[in-house]
Amino acid sequence: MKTKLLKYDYRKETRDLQGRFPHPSHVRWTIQEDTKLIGPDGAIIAILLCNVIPPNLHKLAYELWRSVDSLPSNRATAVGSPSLPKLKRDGSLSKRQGVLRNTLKALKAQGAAQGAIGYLGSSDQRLHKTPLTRKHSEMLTGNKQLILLVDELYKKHLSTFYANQKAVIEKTPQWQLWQTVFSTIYIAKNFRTAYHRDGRNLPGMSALMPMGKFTGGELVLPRWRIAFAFKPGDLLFFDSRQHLHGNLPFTGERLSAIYYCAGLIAKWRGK
Amino acid sequence: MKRTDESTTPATLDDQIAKLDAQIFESLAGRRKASIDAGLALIEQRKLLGHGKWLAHFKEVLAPNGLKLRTAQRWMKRARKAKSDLRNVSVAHSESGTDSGAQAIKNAATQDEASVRAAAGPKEPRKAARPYSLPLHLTEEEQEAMDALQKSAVWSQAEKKVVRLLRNFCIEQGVMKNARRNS
Repeated sequence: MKTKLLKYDYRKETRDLQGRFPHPSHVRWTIQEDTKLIGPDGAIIAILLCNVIPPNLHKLAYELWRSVDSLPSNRATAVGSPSLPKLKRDGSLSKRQGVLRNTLKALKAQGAAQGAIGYLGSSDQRLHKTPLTRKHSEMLTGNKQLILLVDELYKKHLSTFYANQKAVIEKTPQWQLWQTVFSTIYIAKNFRTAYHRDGRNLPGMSALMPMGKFTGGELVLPRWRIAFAFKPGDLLFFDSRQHLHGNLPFTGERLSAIYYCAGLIAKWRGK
Repeated sequence: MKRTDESTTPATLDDQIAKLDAQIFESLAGRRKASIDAGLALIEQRKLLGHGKWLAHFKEVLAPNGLKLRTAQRWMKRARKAKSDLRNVSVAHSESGTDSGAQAIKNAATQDEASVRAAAGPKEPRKAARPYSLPLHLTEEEQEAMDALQKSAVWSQAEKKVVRLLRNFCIEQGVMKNARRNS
């Protein structure tokens, strides 16, 4: 595996990029082989592992997950729209905010959809099995082997991060996906994201796995001027909570699965 | 170097190696940053002194302390490059995705913003507060100063400050509700 030391940190210069779409000019290096990226402070920024997911597993996952159909109405920043108050039927403004009708229409026209499998937090600050998991349990159980493999790769390549995450999630085994360090898998379908952070994840690494037949769609980390040109079978570990990230445009059908641990788990003080 | 203990498991050995790697990388990056900072200082110094005088200063002060001219020149070159890189990055980051997909979302979001603005209606202007006199016992000197302050350009600023102070005091005394906390 190659190790690349990132000498420049463009944190200040990327402050205003949140909610904007990635542009090829934001990228200086494109990574497309097994690489470990190290930041100027010596910390691991990301690890790209190529061809580590056997085709039978990622193809099965693609078939099981491609039916997700919710519009990303709750992810304004990732959509690239400001979070606006919803309009009530009588034309007045609601207290609830999110992505509004015209933007959702545009997303639908692009075939964008999302879904979450496993456990998610709700307004009462508790985690619940997601409606998608309750309705289509095969989306979770059918991919058990894949989820265990991703967990195994996390443990092998990022043992310290893994141990920290394990220590937190083991306190709430009811929200653990089997014995892994993940509580949730977020599926994004044909969703070209603007720069955003996944603020509800537990600090640590998330695993990102693309699926489908597509070209383009590189994941950009503007703070390091890096893009990952990954393909089905590859797996990328990075801290999606800390690092602003978004996608370059793509053609074809593209699914991406993000394996993570919900941040609410760390706050849980119940029985 | 410390000999690896036989009882050390491969995982802990890996962790130790990774930690040391991190330390080495941090030092490497730190060394680079230090040379850029020094390069910037040298450039600034040369600008202040002028080339001829700077060279004399260099020979008198910096060279006897172990800094070679060639090294200083390399640092200045590195600093100039880092500066120009930063400029290029700022220019690059002023761009945003312009492909048809991104454009469609941007247009739709603009329409949504307009509909929210229309639904919100025009903002109601804040009701003008009526002037209120306080029975303050001021000395003659203080009264004169107050008169001068009211006639000065900073009066609106001073008025806001006084009102804020009085509001906070009223909240502290429990004769007024903290509207911000309630909302």
